[in-house]
Amino acid sequence: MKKLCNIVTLILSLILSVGVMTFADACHNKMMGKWMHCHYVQMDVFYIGIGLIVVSLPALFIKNEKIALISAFVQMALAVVAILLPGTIMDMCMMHTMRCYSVMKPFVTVMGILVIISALAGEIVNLLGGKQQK
Amino acid sequence: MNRFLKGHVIRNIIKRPVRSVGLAALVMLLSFSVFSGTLVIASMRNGLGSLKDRLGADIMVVPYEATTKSNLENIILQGNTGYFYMDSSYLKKIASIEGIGQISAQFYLASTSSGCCSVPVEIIGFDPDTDFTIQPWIKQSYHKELKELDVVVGNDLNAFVGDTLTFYGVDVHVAAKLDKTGTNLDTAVYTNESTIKRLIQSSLDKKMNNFADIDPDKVVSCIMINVAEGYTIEEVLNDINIHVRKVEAIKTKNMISGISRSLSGVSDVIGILVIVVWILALVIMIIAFTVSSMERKKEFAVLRAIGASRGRLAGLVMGEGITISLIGSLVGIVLGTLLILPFSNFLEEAFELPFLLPKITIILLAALMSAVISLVAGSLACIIASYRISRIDTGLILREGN
Repeated sequence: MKKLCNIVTLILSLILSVGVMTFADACHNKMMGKWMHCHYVQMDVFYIGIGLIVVSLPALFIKNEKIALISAFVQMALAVVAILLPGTIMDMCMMHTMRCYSVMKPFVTVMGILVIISALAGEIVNLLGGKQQK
Repeated sequence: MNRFLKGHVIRNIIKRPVRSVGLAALVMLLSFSVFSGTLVIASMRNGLGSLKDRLGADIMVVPYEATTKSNLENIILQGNTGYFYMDSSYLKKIASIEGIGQISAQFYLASTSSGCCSVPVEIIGFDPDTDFTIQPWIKQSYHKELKELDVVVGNDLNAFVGDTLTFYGVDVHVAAKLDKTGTNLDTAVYTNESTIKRLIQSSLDKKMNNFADIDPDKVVSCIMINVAEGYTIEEVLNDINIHVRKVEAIKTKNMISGISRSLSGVSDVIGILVIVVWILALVIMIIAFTVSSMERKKEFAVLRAIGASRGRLAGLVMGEGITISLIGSLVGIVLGTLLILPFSNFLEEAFELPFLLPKITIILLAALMSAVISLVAGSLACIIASYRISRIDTGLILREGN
């Protein structure tokens, strides 16, 4: 079950990274030859997604409980940062009807929440399994 | 025995994950479609109501050119930026017509897109002494009078109280942010007559206004009218169109009739889809519950042999079905919440219709209703399966096995 949660977190991280660069990107075009603020938010979310993938991978193969716990906490922290990046930590475009607000921000929020739930569920299952074994 | 059966329900669900997840997914589909369909229809109706409230006048009078270019509906309803002007003497002329209850002028100006991340926004000016459409809306979030160079911003603009915005080189102060309406009026900036006249003058000085030869003190963009009691909108509308030249009086209800028609069409399609999904899910659930129960005839026969009554067996099947339905309906509601609530702005753009999420109490009510409908559908599907299981011939089934 814990492994299933790790796989789900990895898939969610992949969807987050690929999503912000493709179907849920911030802006389609450069405006007046420059990228808008939201493009840099999109890139930062992409790097966080890559970070989540990197953190999720060892948790799949290493069975050490301490490493698994640290990995879950790092995943949750990265997901929180990803949720807060668009619009809270970094500024985005002028209107909330623009793509960065109407598509990218909700997509990142939903994926971030799902990553947190998945990482948390994995850790709870792990803790319960550990208690039962004792 | 009772405790054994209760434990048996949970164990059966956990030990047959594929069957349980499959059945829960069906209920989830049902609950998701009912919840999200209800929420989308309610949000569209809410948005249309909000738009009707915000237009707030019976008649709008605009320069004739504005209507021929179909500018007006684009600016008011689609959120496009644009402006047009007519001589302010029309205000006096129209005010003298019989049947006018309230009358007030409005002024339009579009900002320029400046810098890397700013986009043009519509700036709407009003006369604070006579306005009856914008000020009641502003009063919901700002109770003081707007001072010179104060502006109020729509809810969808990324500007906040205390911010300074620059339009045509003039710094204006954000005094308040309006409540969300779910329409394109959320992307406009509102200010008083003196401030917008200063902005129009500045746009003329910078040669960035399409109307190079106007005097901001002698023009208005639009005249809003409420008809006096005892008169009909049509009477006053015809009077203006017959007696005042070079302007066009428009009934605001006609402006939103297109939106009402689209809304009704979308509501009907969503309603039909929800009903189709409901019937399909119910039929599939009945088949799935019955088939999966009949596959377990031997298990039930053994339970009968060790003393479980027919009622207990029916209860076991019902218990499993209701537990799975409850899990499925909750997941469906959570999924609907995650897809509809955060993506409301995207849905507004996609449907090209006003979209204003209902109050939290209405959302909770919709969630409760969806859960109940899904549970009822799940229970209905189980009743047939549990009836058939309660009728099984224990001896025959056990002998069949041998």
